[in-house]
Amino acid sequence: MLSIPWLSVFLFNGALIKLEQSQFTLEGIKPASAHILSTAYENTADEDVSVRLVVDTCPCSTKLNKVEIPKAIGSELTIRKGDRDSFLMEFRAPLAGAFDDYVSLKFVGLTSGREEIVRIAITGRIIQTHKASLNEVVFNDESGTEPIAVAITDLNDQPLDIRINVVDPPILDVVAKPGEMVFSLNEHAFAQAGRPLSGTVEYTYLYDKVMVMDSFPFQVNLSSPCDVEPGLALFGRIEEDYDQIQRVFLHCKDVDLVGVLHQPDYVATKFARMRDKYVVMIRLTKKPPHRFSDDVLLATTNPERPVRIKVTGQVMKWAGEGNQ
Amino acid sequence: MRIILIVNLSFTLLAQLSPSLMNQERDEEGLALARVMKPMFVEGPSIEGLLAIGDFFLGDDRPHQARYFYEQALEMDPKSKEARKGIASVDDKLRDLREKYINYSKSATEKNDVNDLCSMAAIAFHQGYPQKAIEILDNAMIRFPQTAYEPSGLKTTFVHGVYLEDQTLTRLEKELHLATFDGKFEEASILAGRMISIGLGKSRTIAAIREFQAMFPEKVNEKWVGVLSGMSRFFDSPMKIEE
Repeated sequence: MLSIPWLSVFLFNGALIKLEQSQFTLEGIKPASAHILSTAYENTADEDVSVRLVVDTCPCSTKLNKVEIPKAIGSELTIRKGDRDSFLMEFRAPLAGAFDDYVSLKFVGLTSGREEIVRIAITGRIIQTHKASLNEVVFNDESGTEPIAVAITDLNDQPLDIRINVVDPPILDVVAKPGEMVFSLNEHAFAQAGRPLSGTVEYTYLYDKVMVMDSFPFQVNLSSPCDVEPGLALFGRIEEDYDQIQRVFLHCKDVDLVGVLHQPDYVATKFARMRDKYVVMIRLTKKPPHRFSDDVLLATTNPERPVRIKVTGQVMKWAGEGNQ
Repeated sequence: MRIILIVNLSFTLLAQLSPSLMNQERDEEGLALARVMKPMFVEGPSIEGLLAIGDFFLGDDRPHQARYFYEQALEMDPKSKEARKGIASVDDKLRDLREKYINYSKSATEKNDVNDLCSMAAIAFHQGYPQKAIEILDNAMIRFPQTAYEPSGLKTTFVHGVYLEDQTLTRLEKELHLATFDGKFEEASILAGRMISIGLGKSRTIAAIREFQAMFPEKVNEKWVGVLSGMSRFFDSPMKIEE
């Protein structure tokens, strides 16, 4: 519901323009609903004051559709000494979740040149419009790699017609079915095993004739089937011919290396078994980009669990060429 | 040769020797030894090869290393007169070094001469114990503050020498990786031999040779790699010279 407490406390003493209210809290409003916010003002300065809307870094610039300033010429208004009136703002609610936005007004004393910026905060939360059977999807070694289904229903437990907009980062395949989303790991997630990943699935559904967009969080934390030692193939500053190779070791648990799945076009990779580990040699076969950072992906006996080796460096000098 | 020169030379002259020159010299020595070792990477250790390596290290004033290879030769042929002769030569050299070391130690106490401690450090350093050498020089600097510049200069030379040796090993290791990757077995064998000449017994040298072996499992002789790996015990054991 819309709640606009009438504050008698002004922003600060000696303000050019006194505002009755600088904080609006809107709890439990509907998605995409429009709200008119009003705050009275008084020019208590000893001079005329110009007012301008500052939409600098405010994320609500997209949500706070307009600020209506009475008698404004363009977006700027001059408030005469002693004038009283009110600012009206039209706020368009986001589609889901909590919000914490603000808009800034800039006051300039026309005689003194004194400047003040006043922030009007708008916070609140959209009412719950649906239910999900999980708060978050988590894939890790304990939970396994099997698909995870999340039921999405309205407040009366009726299945919602979900549409998936985007999965960011695209390490999961998410399929929408009536009343549920099914999450499954894809090759990008396996390729990045060994480092924690997280993201959201953005989805839409119809609520009260409004298309509502919401997001659902997920985490992927798969261990790599092989520990890479050191952690990456760090070529560092490449100045000599012999800087064009790096060697890492792989300590594999339940898999063996079987081949190279992917490597940048300027890299060749060879590996060999050494008792309890693998030695992997990564050679630059042609000049890489000046600063490079890529991945070599090695296939293992488990097709779902490749090993990723990060390859990074900086070309300072290349054979037959001068300094870079 | 090197140790005799060093012990007979004034240590201050030693300190003035360019470490890069010393390192360059070692790298060339490495090439000679690598040529001797090269066939053994394929064929495995031979009496002749082991004796040649023992002679090389003995001539290069690294008697501990020389003894190890003579012992390996003796193990292959317990009747080998050359191996026994080599071991006897090593023992003579070690005895001589030990006596020198003890004399310098006594002299350092009796004459209170910083030069004696510096000579002790030089012996320790060139026997492959840089940490021991630096420890002696640190003590010398405390004990003889008036002439601390002499051990200090020598310490700088040693530290720089160790650094350069490390750099050379890094370069050879990468060149070995490159040759291995490119399938240049003979070139890789030579580079492995040069690493051994400079960093025999060091874990990184053994590791590089194991990697070379892993990439050429059909070619590199396991027994020979085993012999080389055994040298790590030389660096794992404390200094053998009596104080």
